[in-house]
Amino acid sequence: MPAAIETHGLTKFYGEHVGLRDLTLEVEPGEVFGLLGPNGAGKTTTIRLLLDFIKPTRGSATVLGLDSHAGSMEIRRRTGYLPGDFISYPNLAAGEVFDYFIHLRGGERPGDLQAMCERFKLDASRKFGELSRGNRQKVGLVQAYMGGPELVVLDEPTSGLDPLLQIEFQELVRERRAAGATQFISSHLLHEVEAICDRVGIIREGQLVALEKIEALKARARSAMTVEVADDATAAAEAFGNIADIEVTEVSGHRITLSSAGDIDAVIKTAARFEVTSFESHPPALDEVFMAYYGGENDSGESNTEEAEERDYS
Amino acid sequence: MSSFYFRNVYFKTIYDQRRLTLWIGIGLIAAALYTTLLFPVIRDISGFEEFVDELPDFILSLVGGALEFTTPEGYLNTQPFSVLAPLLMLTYAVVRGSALVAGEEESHTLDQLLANPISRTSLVAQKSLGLLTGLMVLAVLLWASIQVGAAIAGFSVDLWNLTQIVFNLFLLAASAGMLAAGIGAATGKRGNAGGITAGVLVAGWLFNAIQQLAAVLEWTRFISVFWYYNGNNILLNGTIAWHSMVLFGVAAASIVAGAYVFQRRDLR
Repeated sequence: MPAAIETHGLTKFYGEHVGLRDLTLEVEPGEVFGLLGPNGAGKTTTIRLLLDFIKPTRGSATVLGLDSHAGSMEIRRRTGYLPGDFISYPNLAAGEVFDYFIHLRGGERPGDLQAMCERFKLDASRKFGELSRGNRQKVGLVQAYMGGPELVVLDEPTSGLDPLLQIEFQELVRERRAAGATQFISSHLLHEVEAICDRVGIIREGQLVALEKIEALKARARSAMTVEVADDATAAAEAFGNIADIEVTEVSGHRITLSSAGDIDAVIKTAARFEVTSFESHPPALDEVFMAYYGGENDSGESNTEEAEERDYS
Repeated sequence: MSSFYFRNVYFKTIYDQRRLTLWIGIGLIAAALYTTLLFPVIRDISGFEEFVDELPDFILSLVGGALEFTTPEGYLNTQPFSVLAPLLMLTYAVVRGSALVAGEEESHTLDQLLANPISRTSLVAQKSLGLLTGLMVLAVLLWASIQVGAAIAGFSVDLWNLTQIVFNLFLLAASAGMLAAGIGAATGKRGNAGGITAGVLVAGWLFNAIQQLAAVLEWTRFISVFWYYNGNNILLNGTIAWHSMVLFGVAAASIVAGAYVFQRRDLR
């Protein structure tokens, strides 16, 4: 079975500006792949190259085993797509938008359309132009998933969705995954990617800087722990500091903050020697990994906008 | 049922332009009835011909040149076929032509439309056919309204010549519409499409008027679409086939070139 998506040295320049540079990756059939990066990193460029909306400057891509340009019609027949900032015809009812796309896809009315509208509590009789941002995004999600396409490509799928609907969306992703669909999801939201993706590529300034399983990324991340002791924290902090792989990041009053690469057994046993009033452990978050990739290299001359954006991730 | 319109891109295009078609259609009917019903009155005004003859040549050249109001053909040649009808048809053609691809691209719906299994060539073809259908509907309305108006006013128009001038008007509007659509498809910018096309039309209009005034500028008429539309005063003299062919050629070349570039360029 061919890879669902395969790119080799995929590169896109917009004049002088680099949209994407030498992207080589493979997405397995049935996989939920997350493409993670800040705005302007090249996520949308990647997706638009895959769907033949733009032509690569160099390199090639195959989607569902077909060349992204030569086989584009067949690819699009078998792929559901949600653009970033989804906007549709303002004077058409949501149901009419579905109707139009259904016809363009062969005319067979998908059996799951009604159920999906109910699931997302979408009133398909209302005009798209009158819908709130969240409801518009629902229209986008429904049209991308209707008919159960074997590949679904989503650009920032949960922007505008409230938390309840985000959970509903995550559930949908898992269901489609169980049904065997491949899903390619771009996002700048770590928790989202963490919750639904099997594997993640981190992209920065048009370049892939990491490509790993979520589990592997998490393993790299250090979990943070906060311990509060009844007495002065200095003695306890010293004891924790002596444990291998444990770093004391902050001591203030009765509170000690630790960072651990994984083994917390030694921390607990050490803590047991003191009178502990509070113990909190925070699971490893991708934020830290992400920040490591982002903040690690500090290219001089880079604009500050990206740093500003980075703060949004925490 | 509105789902009738959402069967394909062609019918969706018809749907998109339904309101504009209605209003421009009403405008054409009004123009046709107004001019035809007024004919007996104008014809019978003594001295009107003399009054018109005294108008400055430049004014006359802008409204179709030497005027002759005693026959229906001469009268209709001036009105509505010199100003009102072309103005309405061209407005429709430029507004819709620039909206076809560039308008959809600028309102960010082109991506999702093309995420469906439809080729860019087919998209341009279906949308262009939609616009041409709209123009054809308007042309037929105009043709019929003039005959109805003439019948009410109690005179008759040479049917064959009327059909020919309406057809040439259709071709004129089609060439403008396809030029706007082609520029829009090639550049993705609605402003370019509408602006350049309007510029070409205004320049053509002026060239066509000026060449009637100065013999040394007579050659300039060949670069004006308006010359090919009605340079021969079709209602009086009949059409010249190659004039129509030139208009057809402009339309075809514009849309084919636009589709060619659209097929190869990046979407915006």
